[in-house]
Amino acid sequence: MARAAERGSIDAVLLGLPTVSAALRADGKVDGLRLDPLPLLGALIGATERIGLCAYWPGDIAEPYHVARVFATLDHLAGGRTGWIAGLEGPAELAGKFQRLDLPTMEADASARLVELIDVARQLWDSWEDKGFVVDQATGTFADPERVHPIDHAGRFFTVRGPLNVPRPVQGQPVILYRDVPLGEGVGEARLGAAASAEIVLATSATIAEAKASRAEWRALAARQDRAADSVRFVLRVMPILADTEAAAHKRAAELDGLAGESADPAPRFVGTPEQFAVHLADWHGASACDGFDILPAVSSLDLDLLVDVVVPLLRQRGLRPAGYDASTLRGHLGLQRAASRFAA
Amino acid sequence: MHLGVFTYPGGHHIAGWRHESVAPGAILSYDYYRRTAVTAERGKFDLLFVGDMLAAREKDGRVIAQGALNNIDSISITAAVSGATDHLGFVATLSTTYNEPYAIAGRFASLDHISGGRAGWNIITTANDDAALNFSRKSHMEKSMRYQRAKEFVDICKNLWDGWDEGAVVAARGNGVFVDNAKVKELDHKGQFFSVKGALDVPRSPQGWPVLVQAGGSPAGLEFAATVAEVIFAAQSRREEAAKFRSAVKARMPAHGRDPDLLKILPGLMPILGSTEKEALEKEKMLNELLHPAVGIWMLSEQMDFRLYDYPQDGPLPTSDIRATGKAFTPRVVSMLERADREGLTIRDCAILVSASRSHGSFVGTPEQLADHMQLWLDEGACDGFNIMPAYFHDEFDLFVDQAIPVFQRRGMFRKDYEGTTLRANLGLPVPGR
Repeated sequence: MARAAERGSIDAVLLGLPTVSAALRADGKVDGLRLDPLPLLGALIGATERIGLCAYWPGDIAEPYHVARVFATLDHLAGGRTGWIAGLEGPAELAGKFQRLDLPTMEADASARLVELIDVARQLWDSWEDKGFVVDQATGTFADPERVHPIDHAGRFFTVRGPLNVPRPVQGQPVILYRDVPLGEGVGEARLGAAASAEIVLATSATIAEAKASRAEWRALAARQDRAADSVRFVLRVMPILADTEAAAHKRAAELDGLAGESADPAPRFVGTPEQFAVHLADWHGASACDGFDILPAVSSLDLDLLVDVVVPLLRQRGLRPAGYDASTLRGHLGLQRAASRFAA
Repeated sequence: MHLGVFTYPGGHHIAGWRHESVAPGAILSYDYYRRTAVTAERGKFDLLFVGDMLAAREKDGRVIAQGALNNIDSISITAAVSGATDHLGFVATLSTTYNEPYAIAGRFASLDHISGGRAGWNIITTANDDAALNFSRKSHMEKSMRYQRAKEFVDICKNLWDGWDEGAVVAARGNGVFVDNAKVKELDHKGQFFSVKGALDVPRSPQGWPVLVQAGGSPAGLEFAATVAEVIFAAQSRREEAAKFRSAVKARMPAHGRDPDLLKILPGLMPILGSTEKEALEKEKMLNELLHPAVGIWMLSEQMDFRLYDYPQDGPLPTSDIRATGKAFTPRVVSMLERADREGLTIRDCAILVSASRSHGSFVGTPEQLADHMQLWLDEGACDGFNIMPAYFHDEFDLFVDQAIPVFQRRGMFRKDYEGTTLRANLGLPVPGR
């Protein structure tokens, strides 16, 4: 699938995001298998050359040193093609599997913990300045201690001395994606906190009007965090069910619904021809409802191939997609700046 | 004989990265690890081994300027190179002190699926005190407590891996049943360190469990190894000590209901090869000349857990001062102290020994001499194989595979072809029953 997506010069593959709820998996009727997305991302590095590779690592119980170390490693191995999808599973999903007395039980606290987790991971990526990795064979200098910094973070949830034991990632910092799930109480605060670091917000919206409002909200939140509005990209999930004619697409959708027994779409669905889907994407984008799409092919092989081989060329004709990859890193594909280490003079 | 290759950024000689054949800017790249894996598979190695470290190499809060990096994340490396190989096994190291069992059980089940049954887990409790400071803890957990936690951690993982019965994945198109939930057992564990209720999201993997590996050999570690380890990455550098260690562990296994034949002990071994003995000795000398004195003293101080910076480097290793601290020494340290007394080693001598192979065994000579050396260890019951620690990558490892492996094969010491496509098949270990 990653290779097929690369054939269409898609920006990135997103791995590990839950598509069905625990409750729905419990009856055994849906594919509830979830490979750990971290080794999966690792395995895709050698199978692809240009496409971005992003993995979901929920922040509920994660330790920042682990997150920073693993993603720094992956970003080196992948030559700067990785992104971390941060988010929260929520207490209900994790209940029982991880019982640690030090974990927050309130949603608002869990969100605050996630914000601090992302902040500490970014500090750790910065702990090696680019010039800290010297590797000068002649003098025998491997690292420059003046350019590798302890972070000495002491916050509400984490105390981390640092530095990281992996040099600064190829991208400086892997791209930060944020899975926006309304968690109820404290969601406003959670979004404001996430707006300090999120570069891609993954969201769901039923209408263009609703999406426009959400996108505007995120851009305003980014501005409140002293960031350029353009530094946050608002990306919407959509699940296409495609066929050569509109009637055939609706027939496919009905068949799938029949097989599922009950409807359980992980994202708003689009049913129609590849041409109609291209128009749909162009319309939403043109209306400033979003900056991009997280596309979930309804049936992996069928809908992904139609997306790559039919929809993408149509989007290229409209000037909405590049002819191929221009850059070698995910930041390059997305037009996101590579930030300097906060420790660099 | 079973063989592993321990990958490392630059090489196992702490100055290996300075060797003229090494491109040190590339030691974090996919191609660096892919090349090692592909070469290992060409040499019919059982496995590629990756270590783990959760703090930077530092002294008084500053990184060591002359010290090379330790391994970067082991799961990422092994997953990445699994696709470049078909038979080679992978041992990734993860700590039970700084992780949670539910996450780690899922991670290794996933790695085993992705690699088609070639995953192994080197279970460590993390010996480095500094790790605590990166994980919001005030101090590192005390050793016996760490091993109690490790035991419970691994028990939970085994139960989670065993949770998916035969036939649990139905994937029947007709009635739309993907998973037969009656065949997925929920664990309900409440112990001293963990409470875990649930089942993995990952079905049972090709090997059932990843191969369980353990490193080290302290008294607490020895009991743990006898209980769970299927492979031990051992640290003894002398044959007699290694044989003693091997029989000690194997003697403890029956009490845990385990067959001693189902444990493979692989001591670390750093070979420095030449087409003549003289050439090999010159190579060793050249590598030791590349060793920066500051990094040698630092490594020795870290390993001894004793500050040697103010002692004269050409004076004897102050073994009585070190012993007087009364610390619980690792077997590697005990071994070094005994050797320093026996051979009258200076601090500088010891620094070179530690830095060269990080106190594991080393050998300098021709491929034929190496084969004699390894055969003797096998004949004397000192090991079941070796974890090869090349001084630098890639030339020295290429030399091993191209020059030494054919000698082993000619002598009938080592396989000419893989026995199977899983790590268990190649190590001769059974798939655990449920």
